[in-house]
Amino acid sequence: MTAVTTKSRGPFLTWLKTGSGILTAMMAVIVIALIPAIIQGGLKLFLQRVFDSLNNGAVYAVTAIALVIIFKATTLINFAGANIAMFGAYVCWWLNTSYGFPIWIAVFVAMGTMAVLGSLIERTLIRPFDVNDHLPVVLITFGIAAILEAFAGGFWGLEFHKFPSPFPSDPKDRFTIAGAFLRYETIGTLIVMGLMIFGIYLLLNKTKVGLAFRAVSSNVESARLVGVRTGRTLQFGWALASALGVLGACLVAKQTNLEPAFMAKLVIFAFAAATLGGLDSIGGSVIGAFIVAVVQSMLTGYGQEIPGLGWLKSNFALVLAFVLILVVLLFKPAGLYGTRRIERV
Amino acid sequence: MSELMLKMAGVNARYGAIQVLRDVNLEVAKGEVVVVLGANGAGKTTTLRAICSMVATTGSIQIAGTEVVGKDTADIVRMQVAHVPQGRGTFPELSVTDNLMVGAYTRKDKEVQSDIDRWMDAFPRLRERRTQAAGSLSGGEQQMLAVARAMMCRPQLLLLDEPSLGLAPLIIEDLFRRFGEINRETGTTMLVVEQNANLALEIANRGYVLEAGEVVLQGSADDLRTNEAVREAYLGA
Amino acid sequence: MSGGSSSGGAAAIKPMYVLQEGTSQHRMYQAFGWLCLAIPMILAPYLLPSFRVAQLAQCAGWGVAILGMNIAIGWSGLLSLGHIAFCGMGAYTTTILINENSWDFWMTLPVAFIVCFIAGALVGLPALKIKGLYLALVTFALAYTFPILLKIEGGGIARRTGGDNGRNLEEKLVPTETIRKILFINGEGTDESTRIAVYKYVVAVLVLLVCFLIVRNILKSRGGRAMIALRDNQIGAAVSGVPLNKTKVLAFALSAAIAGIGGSLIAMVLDSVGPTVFDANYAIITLMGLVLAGVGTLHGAWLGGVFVVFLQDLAPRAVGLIPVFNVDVVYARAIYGLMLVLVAFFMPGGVVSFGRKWRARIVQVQPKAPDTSHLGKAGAIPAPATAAV
Repeated sequence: MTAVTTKSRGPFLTWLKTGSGILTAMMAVIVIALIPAIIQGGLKLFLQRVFDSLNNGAVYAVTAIALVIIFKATTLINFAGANIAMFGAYVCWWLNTSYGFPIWIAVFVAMGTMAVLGSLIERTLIRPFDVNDHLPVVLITFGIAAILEAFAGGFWGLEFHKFPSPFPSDPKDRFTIAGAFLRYETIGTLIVMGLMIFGIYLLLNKTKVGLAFRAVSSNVESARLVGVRTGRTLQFGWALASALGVLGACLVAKQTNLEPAFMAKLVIFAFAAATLGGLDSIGGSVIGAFIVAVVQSMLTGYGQEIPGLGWLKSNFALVLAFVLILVVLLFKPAGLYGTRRIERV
Repeated sequence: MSELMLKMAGVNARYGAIQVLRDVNLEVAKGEVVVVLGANGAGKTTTLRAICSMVATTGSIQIAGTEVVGKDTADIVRMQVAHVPQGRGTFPELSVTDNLMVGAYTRKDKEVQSDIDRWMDAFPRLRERRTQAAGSLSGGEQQMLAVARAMMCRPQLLLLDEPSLGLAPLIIEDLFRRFGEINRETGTTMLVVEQNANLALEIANRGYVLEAGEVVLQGSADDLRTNEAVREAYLGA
Repeated sequence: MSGGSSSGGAAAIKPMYVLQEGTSQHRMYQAFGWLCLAIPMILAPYLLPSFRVAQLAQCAGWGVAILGMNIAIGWSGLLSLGHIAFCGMGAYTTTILINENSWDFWMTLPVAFIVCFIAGALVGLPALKIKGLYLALVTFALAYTFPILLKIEGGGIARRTGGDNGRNLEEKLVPTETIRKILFINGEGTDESTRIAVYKYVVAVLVLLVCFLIVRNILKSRGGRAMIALRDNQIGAAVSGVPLNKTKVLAFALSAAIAGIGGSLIAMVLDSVGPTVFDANYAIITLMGLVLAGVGTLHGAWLGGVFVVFLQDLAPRAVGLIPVFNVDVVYARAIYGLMLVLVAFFMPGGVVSFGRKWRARIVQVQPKAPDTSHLGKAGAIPAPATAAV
């Protein structure tokens, strides 16, 4: 009797197909492609670019997480999220500059306010609609975004405002490593991001509310059958995502200055990060955020020197984000660490 | 007369414009195991969904004497009614332990952990796989998980929708044996919807047969087992 | 078995007239319907001032674009928010061919069609793997990025597209002597701008009509029914043998192509193209036009464009009417946002479905019973059985 043998794929190949595998492969490709340019530019330039990307990465990560939280619970994409965050940043700025609130108090008050607004939005404008009917939700979230944009401009004017930094931001407030500057702000942003991720982890995994949230996100019918009040849980998800979005906006506003569209411009990077990492994976979107930031920083910086790419110039970052999204979607629509539910049946 | 755990009277249920249940009358006494038989499309699943208010219902449904028609699903569940839906309804991304914890969502007492231990003792496979995602378990294991999860809320009424669906025969036998055990040991009232009539009738006290949304036959399990029409249609005799 | 099979959702109100399909009465009713549409459309260019006529020509152009969007969103259930980019592609294709290569406007239409068809197919490929709102987000990213892509300076792109400032059409569409005679605009009373406006209007409406007929026929064909099956029940469609992937990609491609034709028309009407006409903002405006007119309705095409063109100035004017606080024009955007929300709440079916409900009170058309005489007794259609799940 002949035995049937199947060729077994080496463990390496199997690993290569997983999220971590693709990630490592991508990073390897990027690093290899850039080695000549890096060597030419020198250590200081390289480190500087790394530090810049840390900053951006943290900001994208915070915003991406807000996107992911809503998506996880509801499979809804919140087109209003960016402007909710923007409005919160305005509130924070206003409390700080007009009323003298200390900056971090202003941040938290703003987060709380927008959390309330976010939960109201869910309750009144989102819940009435069937989960499968996407079109009304698209219209409504765009509508909310437009309304918030108008009110921000109306209340506080369309001109750019300077946003106070939540961290010591004197130009001298930085570490110097091998000649490159690592600003305290960057470290501060990273710490906040880390705390936030830790906080979310605790919330989702160690509390009852978090369990309810994960249950609803996993199987909404069964969640009802164990007594979870799904409406309230979703409302909570919106509130949480709104608050997180505001936090992200406050972290970045110092660098981009306040104007009604400042978050809208940023959100495409957060979206690219979340797509790359997996729209329903918080960890994945954090990793995705840093990849996007690193690639953006490296390629924008060194890309000028690589023949053939210099022509993309300043809009490179955005085009890059979009190309990244497309490529990921073609090969692994669920992203590096997303689950299969994102994929079409 | 023993107390009635469940009393359905004149229940009509519809999905949109389609009427699925017509004038259904059904009773389950406390501690009983009652089986609902019928072909596909007869309305068995809808009966269970009507009890949990997941479908538009008129008529009267009383659980332990309290009228539940029109109540919210979450409120009905809080009356200690546990429903294991068709296809098991586990939370695939959550771990086995989390699935059990979520089953105890409505409980506020401190014995949740000891209950988890107890059910893991009853189903050792679950203990083995307690950190694994529920979606990675086999069909039989998921069914056990679903039942354990349902029992976590210490239900007075347990609703089971086609528990044997998609399972291997040996596993089904084991499963039904355990249902019998659960009923004997905890006194939980059970309403089981099944197509696999043989095994179901063995653990049941009484049964109903549904056809096109109406109750066409009812009786004790023994009577149904020996009934000619039932044998032909559902027991493959 | 108890009687009473409930009829699904039909109007309980008895209509005033019941017509049998295929009878002469029915045909008269259909003709009447078309006349109601045709007469105002034919008279409009002669009764209205020329700038309005030009606006109506724009409406027709957007109508074609919305028709294209409807193929994806309305009939195939593919929620694409990026069709504005395809409109832009069509518009820029036309502009570039006319300006750089001295092509005739009419010749650019097939090219725009093909270019956008291919682009649509390319976008449709990743769409095979993504669900619902996620697809919406990705396609919206396309709409968002399109104006930026236009400004890329490498490869001669920005030069051809005119970058930020857009480009004007160097050859405008001007009616010839014969055409002027046909359209009755040759008289001394009409000036050149009126003639051009009327001509553009006629061209746009004709193209809209042709596209309408093409799409109508496609919807009735096998491919069309496949698309609708795709929207309503994917699994059922797959099991019934509908080639899901092929249908999805084709639906995308076709919708993109028609949107592209719409873009070409708009370029022709405006005599120019620019990145602000085909950006994310307009993506949402056209979506609103689509929903207001009627998702999944053919006749929505006539109205959708009207909404796009006229709602734009409605918002700022509405703001002007609010006497309180001397309201800043910045709040116009809030009115626009409010409109989006209201449309979602109150008109999910659009004006067309609203109109249909009213029409149902007046006229109901009884479809012909299928001819089963050749099947004999066995083929007789049984009384409807009640469904039970």
